[in-house]
Amino acid sequence: MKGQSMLSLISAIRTSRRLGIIIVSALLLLLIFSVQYYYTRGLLEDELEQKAKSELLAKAVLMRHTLTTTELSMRDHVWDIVRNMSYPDSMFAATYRLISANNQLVGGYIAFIPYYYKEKGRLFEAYVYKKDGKYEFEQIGNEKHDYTQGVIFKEVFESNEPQWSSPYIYTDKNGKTSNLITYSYPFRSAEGKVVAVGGVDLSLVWLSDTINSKHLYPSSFNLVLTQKGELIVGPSKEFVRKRDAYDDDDVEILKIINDSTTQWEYSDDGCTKRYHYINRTDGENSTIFLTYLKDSPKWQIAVVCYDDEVYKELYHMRTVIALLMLVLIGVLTLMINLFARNERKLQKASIDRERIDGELRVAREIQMSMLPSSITQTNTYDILGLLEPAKEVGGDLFDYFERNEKLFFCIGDVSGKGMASALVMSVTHTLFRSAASRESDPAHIMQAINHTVCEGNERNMFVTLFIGVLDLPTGRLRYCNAGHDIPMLLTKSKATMLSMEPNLPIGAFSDTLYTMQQITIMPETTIFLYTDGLTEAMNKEHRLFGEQRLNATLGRCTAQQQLLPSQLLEQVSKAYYAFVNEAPQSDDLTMLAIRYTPVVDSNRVLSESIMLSNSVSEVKDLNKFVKDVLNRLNIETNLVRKLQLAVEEAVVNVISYAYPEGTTGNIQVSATADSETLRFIITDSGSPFDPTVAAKADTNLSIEERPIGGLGILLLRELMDTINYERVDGNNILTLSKKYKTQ
Amino acid sequence: MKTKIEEIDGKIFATLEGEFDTAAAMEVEEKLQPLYNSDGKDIVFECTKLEYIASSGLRILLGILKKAKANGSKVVLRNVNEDIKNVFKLTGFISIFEFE
Repeated sequence: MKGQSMLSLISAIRTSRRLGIIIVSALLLLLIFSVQYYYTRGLLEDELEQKAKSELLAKAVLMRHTLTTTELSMRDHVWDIVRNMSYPDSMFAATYRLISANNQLVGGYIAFIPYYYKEKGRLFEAYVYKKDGKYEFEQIGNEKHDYTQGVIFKEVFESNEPQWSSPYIYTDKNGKTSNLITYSYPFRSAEGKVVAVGGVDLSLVWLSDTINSKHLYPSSFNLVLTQKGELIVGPSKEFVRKRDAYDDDDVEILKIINDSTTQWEYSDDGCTKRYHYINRTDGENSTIFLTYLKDSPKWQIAVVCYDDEVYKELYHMRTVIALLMLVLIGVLTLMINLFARNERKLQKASIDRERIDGELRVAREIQMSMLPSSITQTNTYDILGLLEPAKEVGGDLFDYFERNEKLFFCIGDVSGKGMASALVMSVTHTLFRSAASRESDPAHIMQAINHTVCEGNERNMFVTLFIGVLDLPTGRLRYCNAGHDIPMLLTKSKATMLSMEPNLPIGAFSDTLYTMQQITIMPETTIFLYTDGLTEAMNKEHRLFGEQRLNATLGRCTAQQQLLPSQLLEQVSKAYYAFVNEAPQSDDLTMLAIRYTPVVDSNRVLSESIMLSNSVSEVKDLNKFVKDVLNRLNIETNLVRKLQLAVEEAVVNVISYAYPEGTTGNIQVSATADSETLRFIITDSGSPFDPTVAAKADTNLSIEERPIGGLGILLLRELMDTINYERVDGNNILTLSKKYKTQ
Repeated sequence: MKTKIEEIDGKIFATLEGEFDTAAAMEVEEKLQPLYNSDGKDIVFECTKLEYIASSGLRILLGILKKAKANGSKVVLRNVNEDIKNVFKLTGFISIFEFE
């Protein structure tokens, strides 16, 4: 529950964080694209300006060229006209010569001040014009056409300067119209007085051709205006895109150009200016570039470009980028979700892992609590075990306990590591405890464990196990080894391996017969047991600790007389950790050391014995013997009857059951005592019988249920401190011990 | 070990004296044979002078108790010393027998 609410909290935080990441990423992308967009736009803008400027410049040059050519044509013929001025009629020819010299000129005139040629009347204007490729000559000065009242004539006459006219539409006699401009020139007499004004007409068709012969963009168009802002030439229709409001555009642009409040942006050269505006009729963005001719007639030239064409590629790119951004954000969202899902999985796995770890820790605590606690020191032995699991819980085990003056101990290693091994280890441990509490023969204990482990061992787990039973009074070590590492015996002088007959590990076959071996160990001997976690420990170089290194360490301990279990385990641990260094522990490490230190029986105060036969009547002699011993020890009164009863029960048991009916056998009863403990040792050569493991009589049953018998052994157990059974060389040896006080 | 059986006021009085050990048990069992057939009479064991009892002794007493119960007799142990009572305790017999 706790994990779930934590998960949902984490997932809420994660969802909002995810959303945040997506938004931030989108904004970043937007920023990147925006920067790129505006940068590109800036470049395109610069490019447009360059193009527009060079376009305007080119147009200006072309126009200037045509205008200059016209002006030069005029000037070239001034002398011709002046030379012939004395003859009015020659003026036609002179004018003809003037205009025919330049293709673009469609007409020319020379108008004289009133009465210059008295014979021609007040007004005289020689006029030559092109018509269908031929030149027509005409005197057009008359009262109807009083040129002296014309603006151009007046201005040129008064200013004494040549001048370009504004464009105008000329309608000839046949009603044909043409757009014209006229370059007028003042002709002076020898005295320097202006006597006539002559001019050439330039058709504006060329201008239209020049100005709109080429376009920057499909729909961009050019305009030429007079200095005053009147439109001279607009876009010719065939070049302008099909746009209904085309004329309106012109009007609007003219308005903008002529509006003194228009905020122009001036370019670096100072003669080109630009203005960005939104077309009122269709809302399109456009830019006007405007320049003017430096010399008279100081016309203005404008280029108008539409943004949607200038930035066509950019807008296209913008659309593509917008789509790309959507796709990217989509992909990003997908990826983040994927990552988040993975992360959630990891998170959950980690929480699970934590829970499992917690459980493993508890399992480890339970497992460790099952092991005997730290060091145990008694009169007859010191024992210390150590278990370091490689994982939280391990498959190694060791155990020991004392029962009836015998030390039962074992060390084992379950195949594999971790939980499964730990479970098998626990089972094995429990089985050892239960089997060893009723059996004293290590082979029988082993057999009992094996039998149970083999039942339902479907995973084929097996256990190597060494079981030892040390008879504390005699130092007789009986042991059985099921495939485990052979323990070492360390005496003052040397470290030797325990002699060993191989047996199959536990869990292999349920009918395996285990063999028991025995040896009597001397006082001050230390038994060292270990699992392969020690000898097969690996260092970083993948070398094994090995038996040689172990033997060397044990040899050193022997040499330095470091034979107490605590010293021994410390030395071996040190060697182990020095060897593996920082390499991870690959297997459980388990060690057990037992030092046998029986009290030397120097303060014996009594040693008696009696030989009895297997007859109930012998109990009289027995009781006499016992009483005698107790008297001699001057034992406290309340113990006398108890000890008497215990010994009687033990011996009667032997008398009754040791020998087959009808056969005779001997029973030896010895009593030994030191200042603290009294021991009765009952030896017979009858059939093996261990009263220490015989079933207890149930004292809670009702009379009817109560079997007659079994009481003797019950009393024996209740009355003595320890009862110890050994079968040695075909004899049953039962030792009854009791601590006593004297009266 | 000495035993004496008397019948007073319809009750059987069995006096046990000395050590009731295994060696004595067979003989005592023989002597106490009449108690196996108490015929509904209550049985009182007089134990003032009983010094010791082994499990074989307990077994005989248990045998008598089982028979007596079957016959509808009551069995009472009188004046049992502490040592012997302890043996009854250890064996759980203390709850089966009645003490006075």
